[in-house]
Amino acid sequence: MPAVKKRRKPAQAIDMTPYVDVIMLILTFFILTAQFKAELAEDIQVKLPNSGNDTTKLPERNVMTLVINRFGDIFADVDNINVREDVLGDPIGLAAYHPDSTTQPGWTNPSNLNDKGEMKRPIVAFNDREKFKKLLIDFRLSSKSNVGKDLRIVVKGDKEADIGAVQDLMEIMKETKNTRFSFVTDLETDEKEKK
Amino acid sequence: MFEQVQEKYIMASVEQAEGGSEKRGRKQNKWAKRKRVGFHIDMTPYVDVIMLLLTFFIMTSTLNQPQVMQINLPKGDIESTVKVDMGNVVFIRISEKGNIGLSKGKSDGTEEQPIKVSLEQMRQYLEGWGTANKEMIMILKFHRKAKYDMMISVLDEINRAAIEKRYSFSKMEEPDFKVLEAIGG
Repeated sequence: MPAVKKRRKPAQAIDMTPYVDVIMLILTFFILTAQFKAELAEDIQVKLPNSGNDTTKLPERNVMTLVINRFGDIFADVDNINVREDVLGDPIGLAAYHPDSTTQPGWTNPSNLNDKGEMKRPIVAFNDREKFKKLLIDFRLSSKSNVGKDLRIVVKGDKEADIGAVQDLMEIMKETKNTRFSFVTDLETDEKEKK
Repeated sequence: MFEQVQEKYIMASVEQAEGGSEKRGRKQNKWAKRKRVGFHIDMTPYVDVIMLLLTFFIMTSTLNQPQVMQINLPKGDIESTVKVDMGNVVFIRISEKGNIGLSKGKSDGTEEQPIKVSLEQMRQYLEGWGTANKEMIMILKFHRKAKYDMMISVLDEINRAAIEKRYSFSKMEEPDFKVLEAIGG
């Protein structure tokens, strides 16, 4: 009979160690792979267009993001706080430029920019095309001196944005010799493709 | 001295749990009750917290990482123009409504009658022409009021087509509007 008793004893307290080990592994995996959304993405919401076969991933560091929202505003941002401080004079500032003089900029009403209707970051408006061009160059120069790396340029356009704004931006980029850039898109699913 | 004994007991306890030597366990029976309490650490709150953290990170992790479409604009001054043989040129015009007008240039400088195509048809035409003429150059003209979504779709179709991806962006001018009117705006 003592044999039976002995067998029961270990079963009473379940050894959780392997279970915890596995969970810790999964936890570590998610902590390491987690990517926190950039501040900018929260403040200015855009609906990304879908595309099918872009296999390149969005670069993570040293990125200059140019966001075009559906009002035709262009927002320029870099992911380095020192560069922003250096160029805009404000560590959380966000540069904005409205290329089309015939329409009103959308950023005057914060509810145009995101659902919350408030901007956490102050907008530094550029009304002059030449100044905006200088800004793009300054961002890159400042990044080179502060971080030691050149910026990669990504363009995040809203689905509903007019191509005019994108064309204006492309012209500005060409004039500032920023000829390599990428459009950010969402991966298209097969159902959407058939539309 | 005390530590030594404790260590011994821990080892014994592990062995006992595995069904090992009972001898040691019995010999140090007087220690048994006190130590056993200390040895079984209740892991439940620990696991609870870890599970919470795990849930948090699973929820916040972004699974669909945005993709990027690489674009290389030609370097050089805006004024500098490149002469190309019109016979190699294909015009892709996108109207305000999002219609696609596709037309082929002729070597004498004129161009063929534009055809209205869907995105899918455009790719098929481009693949056909692109394989027949390896020197094909696509000139994209977008109406300023057309939607950015359309631009990405067109670029995407071009990227998807099994042809040389040689294209350039060009401004839409008066004659282009007339061409687009011919296919229904």
